[in-house]
Amino acid sequence: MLPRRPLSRFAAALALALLGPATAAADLPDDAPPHHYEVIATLDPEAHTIVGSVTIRFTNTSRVPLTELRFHLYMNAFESEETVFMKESRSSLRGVRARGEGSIELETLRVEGVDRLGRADDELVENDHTQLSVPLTTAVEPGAQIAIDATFTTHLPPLFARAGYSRDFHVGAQFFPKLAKLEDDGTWASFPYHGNGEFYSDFARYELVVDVPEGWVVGATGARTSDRSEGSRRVMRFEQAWVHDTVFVAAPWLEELLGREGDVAIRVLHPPGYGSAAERHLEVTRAGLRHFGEVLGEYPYAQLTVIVPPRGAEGGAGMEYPTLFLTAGPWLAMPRLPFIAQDEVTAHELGHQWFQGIVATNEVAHPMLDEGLTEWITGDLLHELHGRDRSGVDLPFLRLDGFAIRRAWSLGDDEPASPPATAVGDFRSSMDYGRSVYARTSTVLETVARSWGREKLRRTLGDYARRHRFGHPEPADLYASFDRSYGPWMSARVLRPALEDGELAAFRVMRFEPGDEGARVTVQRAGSLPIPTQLRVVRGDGSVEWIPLSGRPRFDGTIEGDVRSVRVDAARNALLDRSRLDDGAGDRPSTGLLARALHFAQSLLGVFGP
Amino acid sequence: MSATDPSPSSGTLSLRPSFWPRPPASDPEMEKSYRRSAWKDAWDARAATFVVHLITLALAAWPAAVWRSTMAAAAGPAPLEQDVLLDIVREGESLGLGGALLAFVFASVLAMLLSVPVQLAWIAALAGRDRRQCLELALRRWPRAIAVTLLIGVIAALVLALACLPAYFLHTSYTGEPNARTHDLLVLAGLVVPLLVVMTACAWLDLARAACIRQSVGESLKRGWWALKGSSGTYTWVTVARVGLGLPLLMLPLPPIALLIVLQSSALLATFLRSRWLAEAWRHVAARVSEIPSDS
Ligand SMILES: [Zn+2]
Repeated sequence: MLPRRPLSRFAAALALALLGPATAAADLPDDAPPHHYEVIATLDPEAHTIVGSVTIRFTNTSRVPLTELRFHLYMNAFESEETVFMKESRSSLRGVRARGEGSIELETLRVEGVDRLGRADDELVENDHTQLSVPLTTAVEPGAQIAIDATFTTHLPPLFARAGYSRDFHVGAQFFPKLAKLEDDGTWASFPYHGNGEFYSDFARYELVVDVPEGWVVGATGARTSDRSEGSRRVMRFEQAWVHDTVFVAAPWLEELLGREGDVAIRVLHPPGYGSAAERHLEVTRAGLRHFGEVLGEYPYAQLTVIVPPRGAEGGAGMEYPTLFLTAGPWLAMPRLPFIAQDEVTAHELGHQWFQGIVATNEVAHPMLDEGLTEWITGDLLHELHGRDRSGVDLPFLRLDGFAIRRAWSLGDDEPASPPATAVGDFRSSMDYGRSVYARTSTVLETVARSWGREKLRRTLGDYARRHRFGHPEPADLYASFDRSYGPWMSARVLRPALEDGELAAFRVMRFEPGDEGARVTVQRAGSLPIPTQLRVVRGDGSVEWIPLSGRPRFDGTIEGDVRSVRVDAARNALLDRSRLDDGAGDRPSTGLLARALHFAQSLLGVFGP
Repeated sequence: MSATDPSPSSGTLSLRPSFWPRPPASDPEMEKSYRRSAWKDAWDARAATFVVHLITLALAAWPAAVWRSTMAAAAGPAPLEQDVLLDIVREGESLGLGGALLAFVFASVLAMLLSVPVQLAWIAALAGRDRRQCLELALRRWPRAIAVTLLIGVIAALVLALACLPAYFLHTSYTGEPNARTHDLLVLAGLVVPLLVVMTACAWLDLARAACIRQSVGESLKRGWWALKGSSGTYTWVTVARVGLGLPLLMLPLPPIALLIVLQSSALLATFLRSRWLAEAWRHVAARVSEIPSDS
């Protein structure tokens, strides 16, 4: 199914005018979230600093009295080469190198009006000041609420990892002191800022006031509830309940493309010259809101902001925040290159609105529930938009299945990757993390989709996403949804072995001996996963037969008739096979390979020849 | 017709340095006749052209056969598509794709070494010489043609470096501009000049090699340069046509036999078009030689 054509700018503006601003949020819980943040941020674009304050109304949602508060001061990850973030990422994230320093200075911190900064400890890990422990003199009883306020100055680093600046493009993310996630048993799920995982927070109501120079354009989490000029400054307020973070992006030259999908107002902010790309980002966003909404439950907020970062801001690109994400891609729309240009990144970051945004798992402990699930639904959306075999590259002369690309990515070199169910800090490298969490998790799920039905997998993930909407589930909750849907064998025999032990399911045609009596065929299966598959048999008269192979480790038998070739998993359903080059034997249909190779060599030699 | 020394037309800016001799006047009627004769020359020398085609075919067959057998061995009876293709790329190192690449590099080096004598013999054949004369000229004029090639190579490299400067300055001054489209389109526009330099150098090289069959190195460079004016149109369309007959056809969705026929026919046509260009190149430089009466 191809996506519908996007609204033109004019039509979108007209639609907004007719429908009025987005009304109350579609599908949020009726009660107010337990915590409340008001963040006031004044951006100095010359010094690249944010001077601000934060006021928090915090409720002890645990079962026990609290004697300590734990904050994240994540911008301190960039203050030296010795922080956990910089050491883990070796000062480079996703190919972008660190080019300068950043930090957050807390000027005041008061709890119920009493200064607590003097007693606070910000070095919970040696040389790392991204966490702050604040002991309390009076315990906070379960259900009780306290008021916290702080003032701070954040020095944004040059943009290489999510937050920072690239010339006058500013991403204000993780820039204010924020409480860690409080677990039911009264412990703080607090961790230093890692290169490959940052999210785990409680839902709250966030109000963000952004103060920028007059004429600047701002995109931020939530609905804009006020926008006024104060001298040479522009001051805007954004509000959103039931999110776990707030963020803003600001630049003087951002252009705006408006759209709408159902009740959701979409705002695409993009650099000048990126008009056609912005249309494509909008188109994919709308298709994604429909598809993910249907599969995983409706998008619950009234608005969504998509930021197309400029060239040079790659460090902030491809990053998700509540009701806002930064996508990536070239200025020219290239819908026929879904894996490379606009589609993949926008689909992926939009998918995070569910797996991380609404289903708020612990990314550092279980990155597979965040990036892994998101990567599968991304591929599923691209499958909807382009069809299975064109979901990676969709050119007239070259087509690639997006999951074939993810499969090749997941296999990488011969060294086994860490299994997807690994905590962020335990991967051997960023490459290992990407191959395992994004590529392996998604190919495991796609193998399930292709072996036992795509709709069934969608219903299963839908069950998981709906049950844990605005919750903080764990891998066991995901397995439970699968077992409810498929039976208890699914987690025991497929998901746990594949995701926790890195188990594969590989096939190999060991023997193929055609003869007068038929062909003797041996197919070997490696790995314990009971992936069902079929042997395709092509006979001399051109007829094709599909023989189902059970989960047995070895198929050994004689196939009657004039068998010309056999191939196991010819439909390419099992993506957990390390090599597909040994999956068949016998005649090969000519593909004109020699003709092409010859012409290719002739054309190139024509450059050097006589 | 007095064409020896056209008086400098008033108001025309000339970049010609004083030591560089004034080119003989061009005659549009003559140039038209070269173009007509070149088709006939090329057709008359079709046997020689076919031999040249066979030589490049033989050179190409080597890496092609290595590629094919490597890919076929790697893929087994799998259709070469989707993840099978990705697995070949992924496992390329262990499958010996490196060897196939090496075969191509060797074939290219061999093609470069052979190109000078083969081209000389080819031009001689297009100029109507018999087989013995062609081979003799190819051997005798080889060193001269190498010298011409090196000189044009050095000059072209220097000019190319200068021609790339605008694109480089556009790149540096527009990096950081939020409108990446402006940057990219300006740099692309800036690259038109280097492209023209490369095409001019290649056409000049062909013309000078054609001239060096009869002329000294310096004279060949000069006559080749002069001949550029009247022949660059032909060089351009022949080059565009040859590119069109090359890599873009690779993805034609045809059955194997039909594909082989179409691709080989287009390769042969591309060689013939090159012979058509070289025939015209020869006519242009030969016309500047004193024995052809333009200034008597
Ligand atoms: Zn992600």
